[in-house]
Amino acid sequence: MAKHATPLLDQLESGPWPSFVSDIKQLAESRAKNAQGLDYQIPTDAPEDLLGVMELSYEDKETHWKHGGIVGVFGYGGGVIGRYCDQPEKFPGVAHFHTVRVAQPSGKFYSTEYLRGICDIWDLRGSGLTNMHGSTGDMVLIGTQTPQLEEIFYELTHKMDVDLGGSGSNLRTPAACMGMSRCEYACYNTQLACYQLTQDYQDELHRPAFPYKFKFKFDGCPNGCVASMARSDFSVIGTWKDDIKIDQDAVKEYVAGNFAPNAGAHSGRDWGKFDLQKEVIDLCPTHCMSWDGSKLSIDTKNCVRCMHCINTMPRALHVGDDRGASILVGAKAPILDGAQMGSLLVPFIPAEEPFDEIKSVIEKIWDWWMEEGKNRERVGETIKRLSFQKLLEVTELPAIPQHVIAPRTNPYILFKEEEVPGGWTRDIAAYRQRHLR
Amino acid sequence: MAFISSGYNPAKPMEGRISDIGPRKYDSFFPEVIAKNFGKWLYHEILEPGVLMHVAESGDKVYTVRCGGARTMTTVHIREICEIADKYCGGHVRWTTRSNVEFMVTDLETLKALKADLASRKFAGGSYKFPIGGTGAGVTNIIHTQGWLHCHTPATDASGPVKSLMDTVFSDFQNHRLPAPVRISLACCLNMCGAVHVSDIGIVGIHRKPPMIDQEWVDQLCEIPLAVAACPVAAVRPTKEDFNGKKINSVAIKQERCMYCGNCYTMCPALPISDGEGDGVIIMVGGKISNRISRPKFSKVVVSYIENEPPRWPTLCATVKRILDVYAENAHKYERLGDWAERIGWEKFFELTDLEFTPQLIDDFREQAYFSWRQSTQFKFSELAAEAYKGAEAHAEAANAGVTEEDKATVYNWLVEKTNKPGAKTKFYFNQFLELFPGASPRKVKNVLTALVDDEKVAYWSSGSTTMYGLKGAGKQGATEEGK
Ligand code: HEM
Ligand code: HEM
Ligand code: HEM
Ligand code: HEM
Ligand code: SF4
Ligand code: SF4
Ligand code: SF4
Ligand code: SF4
Repeated sequence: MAKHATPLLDQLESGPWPSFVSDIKQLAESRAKNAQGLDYQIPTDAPEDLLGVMELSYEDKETHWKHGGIVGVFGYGGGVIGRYCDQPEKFPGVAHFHTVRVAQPSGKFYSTEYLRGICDIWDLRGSGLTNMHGSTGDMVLIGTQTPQLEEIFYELTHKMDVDLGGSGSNLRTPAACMGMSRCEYACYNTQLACYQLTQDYQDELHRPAFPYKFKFKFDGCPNGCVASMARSDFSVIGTWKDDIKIDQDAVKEYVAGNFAPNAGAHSGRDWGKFDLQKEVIDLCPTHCMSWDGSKLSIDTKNCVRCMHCINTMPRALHVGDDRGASILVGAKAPILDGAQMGSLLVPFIPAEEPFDEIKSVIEKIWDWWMEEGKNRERVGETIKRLSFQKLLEVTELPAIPQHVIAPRTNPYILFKEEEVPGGWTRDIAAYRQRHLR
Repeated sequence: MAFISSGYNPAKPMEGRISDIGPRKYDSFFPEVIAKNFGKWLYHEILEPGVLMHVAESGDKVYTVRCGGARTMTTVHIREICEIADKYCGGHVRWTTRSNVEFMVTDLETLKALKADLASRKFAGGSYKFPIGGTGAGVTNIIHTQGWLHCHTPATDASGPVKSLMDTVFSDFQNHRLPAPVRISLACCLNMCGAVHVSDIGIVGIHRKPPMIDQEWVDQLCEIPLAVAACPVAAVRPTKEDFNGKKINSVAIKQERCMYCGNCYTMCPALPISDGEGDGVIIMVGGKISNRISRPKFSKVVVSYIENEPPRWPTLCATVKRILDVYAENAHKYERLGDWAERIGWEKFFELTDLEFTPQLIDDFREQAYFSWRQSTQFKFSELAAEAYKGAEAHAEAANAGVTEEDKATVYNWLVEKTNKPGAKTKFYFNQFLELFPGASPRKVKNVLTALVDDEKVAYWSSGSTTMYGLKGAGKQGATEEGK
């Protein structure tokens, strides 16, 4: 018998999509049964109380969680988020219900041995509820009490060989697409870059000294599967400089209808016979492709590497061999002055172990932002406030047309004094010799 | 319950402490076929919705079954995933960026058994545990945030609307009928913990009432300077209040400036923002992250408010479904939702989807607003455009109102008074004269000034770009101008 009646939540058990309500109920049941005979370190009925407090929110359409607070593990400024219920008497099992962020492996492959190890810790010391994964990328363990935090951290580091993720004004847990592990488009090893930089910047991750949060994300190609351009202050996106590799025989197979276009992504509907001209050549944003009926050509100098042709004919076209990455800087969510996407800073940078080139750009940006950034100002906002030119200056990069979609439309150019011959100190007496008043 | 120590000694926190070790290295978790062919993949094919085949240069193949799931999952469910992964996948499994679960196998036989097994598993309540899909030109899992399950500022729930929406669009999770992939995301407040602002369809929880001030608690719970600094639009200021006969430190909120972001509440629990009848969601559409064909773009708000309707948010679901269906019917192959809307024009988007265009949908936030207005005569006609202009009934009668001597004296005396103050301005903008005639039509006031100019009492002054009024002959440059 459930502890709280949840008639509203129960309506979320029907329908085909996996129901989180059913899942939490099975957790509640399993804890009540306690087949392992565990000495649960937080209330056994925490999941029941969680359903109870959620049902209450479903009745009055308001949350019943309070702000965070000072909880965490010794010496770390992030990784734990405090959470308290505003109806502790009704729902004692979740009165204190803190979150622990656990650093995820790049690409999110797991062994079952590791997952079970995490589950064992979390069943004993927490609610058994998780997010797989949080929006930043961490594995998120939802719901434990303050005395358990150090114990969980100890077991994570000693038994599982894994650390906490980031939260607060620090480097947030970096994330990467699956890259080379299973994707033929990957232009560099996104997982290694992510892992390497996460290791190298552990101090920045755990001990906040930034004006606000800072995120890296690593996409292997312009398809952008981890959405780095939208979600990270520093976005590294794979690209290449040479020709797209063309297998002309395979192109013919597509034209003949023997290979499914776009790897079969459009199989749910009859779009008619594949039409190379209409579906690839004409959709190329720069019209740099041509097809003479037997040979496909690409004018590499005019290709902007949008991925469309490659996505559409993955068996015939492959990314080039002279690979590296582009760096875009400054993405942020809309609060406050509107959303920003990353803006292109470095068109091409080598992206090979040990990633020193990429790190040099990051560190120059940090040095500048940590000094000039205002509190709670994302680096994208600092750039807007102090200008893109300033960013180029601190990263020691030349201005090039690729940095803009178009040059400025206003003539309000703020020249620096040293850029003008003779400087700004002028002689009024000499002027009056030339001009009467 | 007896406390079980992990070995941690609170008296000596640094003893045996391990820190700064980061995540586990990704390749320690690779299945054999992934480790062997890392970086050597040749091409892939989606064999059917939710089932991918990747072929390596070596000729090796890996078959992936992608399954949807609630990102909020329990250890019971994770253990079941482990059991399946042990049985079919050599003890390996992965999660995608969008919270799908992927099982990988290397032969067709096992693939078949795995698929059948996954499809057969259901929760006690009847929903699938592992629905297969989420690939290609369809809908994949919804990225979302915490909502009423675990956050303090949400304006809507996350897991509930997501479950309801995924039920509504479930057939598109398991089908490739759409013109291009459609990515749906949900954030439960303006902070947008997910990348909702760059989704084909984004749902965002919004509050619509400024925070309340709990005078009983504000002085006790809040560091007032922090609450003041938290407000992004400077709507919060410190103040003193009388409360139960005592003077207390408190804050005042300029309500018309508040954007209901809840940041002050984060800093000060005595400023609660949630409100059952004020809160709800908006729908944003047309964003994309991929650089494919067109550049990445932001989503645009197309529905300015839908109330929260727990447990199943029927209006939200029906609206999203309608947008999806109209898009599917009208867009070209490969065309993302935003590219389609831009090609046909947003006016056409509203006509086809039959969504109401409310005044709130016109941007009015800072400089960026202007760039979304239409600086062009190019638009497509719809009934709305043809009938927007409602006729000329309001032609102002006041414009031709007569000018009296009294009116002229009001202006003249005011000018004399202002101009004669030592060190005063001598030139005035037109709008300053409006204040002398409260409620009068501006064109009437203009007539008064024109009359004074005709009387040679008042003169125009012009920079070439700006015109001002002053007493004839007054001012420092008067001499030059009069040629004296
Ligand atoms: C003042 C502004 C913000 C506040 C007060 C805030 C607060 C929070 C809180 C309390 C959580 C934890 C929810 C929980 O697990 O209980 C959270 C999660 C998160 N926040 Fe924020 N946040 C803010 C701004 C942002 C912004 C601007 C972003 C993105 C750029 C962001 C990204 C995230 C992400 C990715 C998560 C994890 C969410 C999830 O996986 O559910 N936050 N935020
Ligand atoms: C680089 C700066 C600019 C250049 C080179 C430029 C050039 C011109 C030229 C060549 C014409 C045609 C004149 C003619 O038909 O004889 C023109 C007309 C005009 N420009 Fe500009 N313009 C500039 C900036 C502006 C700005 C900033 C504005 C106003 C905000 C402006 C407003 C106009 C208007 C209203 C006309 C039409 C004037 C008329 O037909 O009498 N222009 N401009
Ligand atoms: C044929 C073209 C494409 C191929 C072959 C492809 C391939 C992939 C692969 C291998 C993944 C799994 C990566 C991971 O989970 O880390 C993935 C995920 C993803 N892709 Fe793509 N991608 C393509 C086009 C696109 C496009 C056009 C977009 C959107 C603009 C996109 C957005 C995403 C997103 C958001 C994910 C995460 C999906 C999930 O976690 O379920 N992809 N894609
Ligand atoms: C206080 C600032 C300004 C002053 C004193 C000023 C003054 C003048 C004067 C005296 C003229 C007439 C020139 C002539 O026909 O001999 C003029 C013309 C014009 N001004 Fe300005 N102006 C100012 C600001 C601006 C600004 C900011 C803009 C545009 C953004 C602008 C755009 C124009 C244009 C388009 C013309 C007409 C040019 C033409 O007819 O060829 N002015 N301005
Ligand atoms: S971003 Fe590119 S390389 Fe990375 S998984 Fe997506 S398609 Fe592959
Ligand atoms: S990658 Fe894009 S720009 Fe380059 S040839 Fe292909 S379709 Fe054209
Ligand atoms: S989007 Fe807002 S309400 Fe939702 S988890 Fe993030 S901060 Fe909390
Ligand atoms: S809700 Fe946001 S905008 Fe409104 S007063 Fe609070 S901090 Fe300021």
